Amino acid sequence: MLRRTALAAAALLGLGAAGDAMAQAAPDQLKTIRDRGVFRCGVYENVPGLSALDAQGNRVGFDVDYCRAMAAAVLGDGSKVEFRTMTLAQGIPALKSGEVDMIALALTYTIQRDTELGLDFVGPTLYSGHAFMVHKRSGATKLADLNGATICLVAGGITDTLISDYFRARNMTFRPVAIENTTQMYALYEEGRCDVVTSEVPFLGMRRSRLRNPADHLILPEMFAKSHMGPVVRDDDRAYSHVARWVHFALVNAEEMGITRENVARMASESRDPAIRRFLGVEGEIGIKMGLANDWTQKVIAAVGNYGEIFDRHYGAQSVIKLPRGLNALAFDGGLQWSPTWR
Amino acid sequence: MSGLATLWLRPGVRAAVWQALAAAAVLAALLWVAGNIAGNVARRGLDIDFGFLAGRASFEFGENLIGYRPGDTFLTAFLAGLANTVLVAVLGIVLTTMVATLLALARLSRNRLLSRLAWIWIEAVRNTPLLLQLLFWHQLTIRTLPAPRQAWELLPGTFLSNRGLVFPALYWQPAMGLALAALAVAILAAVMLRRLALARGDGPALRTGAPLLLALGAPAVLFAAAAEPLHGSVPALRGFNFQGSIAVSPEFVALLLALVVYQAGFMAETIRSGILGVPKGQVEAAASLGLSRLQQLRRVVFPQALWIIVPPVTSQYLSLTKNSSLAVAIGYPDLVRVSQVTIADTGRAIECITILLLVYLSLSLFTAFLMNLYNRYLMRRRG
Repeated sequence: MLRRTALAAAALLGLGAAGDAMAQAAPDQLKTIRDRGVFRCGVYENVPGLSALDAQGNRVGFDVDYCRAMAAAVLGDGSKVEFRTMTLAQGIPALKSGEVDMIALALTYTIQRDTELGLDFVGPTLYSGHAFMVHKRSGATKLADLNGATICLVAGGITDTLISDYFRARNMTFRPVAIENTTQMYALYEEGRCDVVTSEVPFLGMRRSRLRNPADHLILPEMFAKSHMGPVVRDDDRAYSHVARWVHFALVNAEEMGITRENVARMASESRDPAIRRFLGVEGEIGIKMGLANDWTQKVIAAVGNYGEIFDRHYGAQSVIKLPRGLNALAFDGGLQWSPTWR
Repeated sequence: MSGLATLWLRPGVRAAVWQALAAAAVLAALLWVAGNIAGNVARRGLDIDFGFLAGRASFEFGENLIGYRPGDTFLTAFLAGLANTVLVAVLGIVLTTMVATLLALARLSRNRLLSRLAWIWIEAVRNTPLLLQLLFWHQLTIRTLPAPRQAWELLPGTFLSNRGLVFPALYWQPAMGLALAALAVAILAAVMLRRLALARGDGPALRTGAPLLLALGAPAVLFAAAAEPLHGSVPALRGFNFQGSIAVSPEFVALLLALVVYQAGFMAETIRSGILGVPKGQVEAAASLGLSRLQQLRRVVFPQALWIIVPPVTSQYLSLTKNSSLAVAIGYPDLVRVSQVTIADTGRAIECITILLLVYLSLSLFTAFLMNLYNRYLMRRRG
């Protein structure tokens, strides 16, 4: 009896401690971050392209740059980020409990996450879709060949349900092997435990380039589901959600205006274009009214560059996979990335 | 001296006051926690609601005992996960007990080689993390076994590959149920027959032969008489994998292997301590009665060692069950996996974690309950 009581008490206390952490997350998120002096960001441990360590031990990646951009906007310094590595399954609970200020885990934008889970999506910062990679020796060349396949997928995401829906509608079956750690998932695929591994196209591309024999693997050309992804914040502080959304727009707007990491300082001091001066906070007080420094856009661009630069670094011309901009080109160029008017 | 001070000097009064203070502190802590949870849940707009369990789960689960399919309810999915967890736990407990007993005897053996080997096993598994061992066994299973197209055919229709072990499935027919029922009845009858034979002091033919014949023969005859021709499905390699068969996945094998090898290391030491805890005089007395080494163990040592062994072994059974939740690291679809997908799908994190906690708690309490019953039985027999 005593042990039973003790167990119950321990369970309650455990929940209580979690509750306490929630209680401390004040609704004024900007002030909380400024008082703390560091921006806490949830990222993957090792997903090349999104978040991984480079040869010097620095954390780099597309989503990592969004963390740095947020730190630059709120704290004026893109290096004041504390990265918390987590898996997809841990991400949403960590965000909701206030352990991190943002999760940059390339979460797929879904109606349920937006409306039911109390999350606010930034972007989408990356438009893509779910695809399959297979061993070439399997002979599969299209989705219809995959009936009965064993598929490695990330536990805790929505890929299981997306594949289930796609296969059920076509009277196909598959066996899932759900792994929480993505590196381990690709290792299992490479060893032949699975016929197929699935993820979004850019991530499959990055991983294929790191397999022992990239030429032995085929990324099937068809996508079985769209996936428009972005970093995510809690939706309980509107001012903060606005900042997160407009940081992305600032990156896109900078590309539209031709402002880069290299020329941002010169643009701020020399440009006579009122639109650029307003965007960079030289004129007006848009930044101050948002609760930020007036020159926050300058800090953001100085820290990570504009959207095009970020894309090129991690997926595009400067990366291993040289992914075309495609849907992620500026709307001016026929893509889907755009920024509202900066007025 | 005032009346109050004299009252305080009385030990009974002092104890009562301290007890009351402690109880009040615990109560206050509980109230604070409950209020905190309720407040936070309300402020975050996190309504606790288990209604989602009736909703349709739309994910493929892999191997499961109860035949869950995508499109069934989340509750069914949770039951499927629970069944897989219980399967591993029960098989694990049975196998661990057997392996640990052998390991303990090997450790105590006078044969130095045997004893040293057992010692290495015990020290190696007790001093490395279980998660690491689990990954090791999983890698070993997958890397040793061939791809499905090069599968080893162990028996006609039974294939072993890195997709697991597949064997033919027999379609169920009523005669099988009949035979199973007959088997149960026949075993009961055989046990009684044996008791009777023992009481009468019959020879081995009546003591052992007749009950065995009854237990195995009766169901076989009945089945042969009632059965339709057997039919089933033989695994065939179609496309990617073997279809139309029963399969045991490498994840299941790796998990079971890891749990048994690991837990047996601990349990062997417990069993060894139990055996060594039996007074030496008892063994010497048994030897002087002319009992063989095996008889000494069975009749004298083990019955007394059990009193020492059972309580600590209970907690090892519990940790085996709880450790099985590491399955998620290698992708065996257990309860934790269901809750992960469900959280991703519905966002009901608090509810799912609560279910997990309650299920593991109930499993543990139930195991402890059974073991306590057994322990009480042992104590009563001791008198």
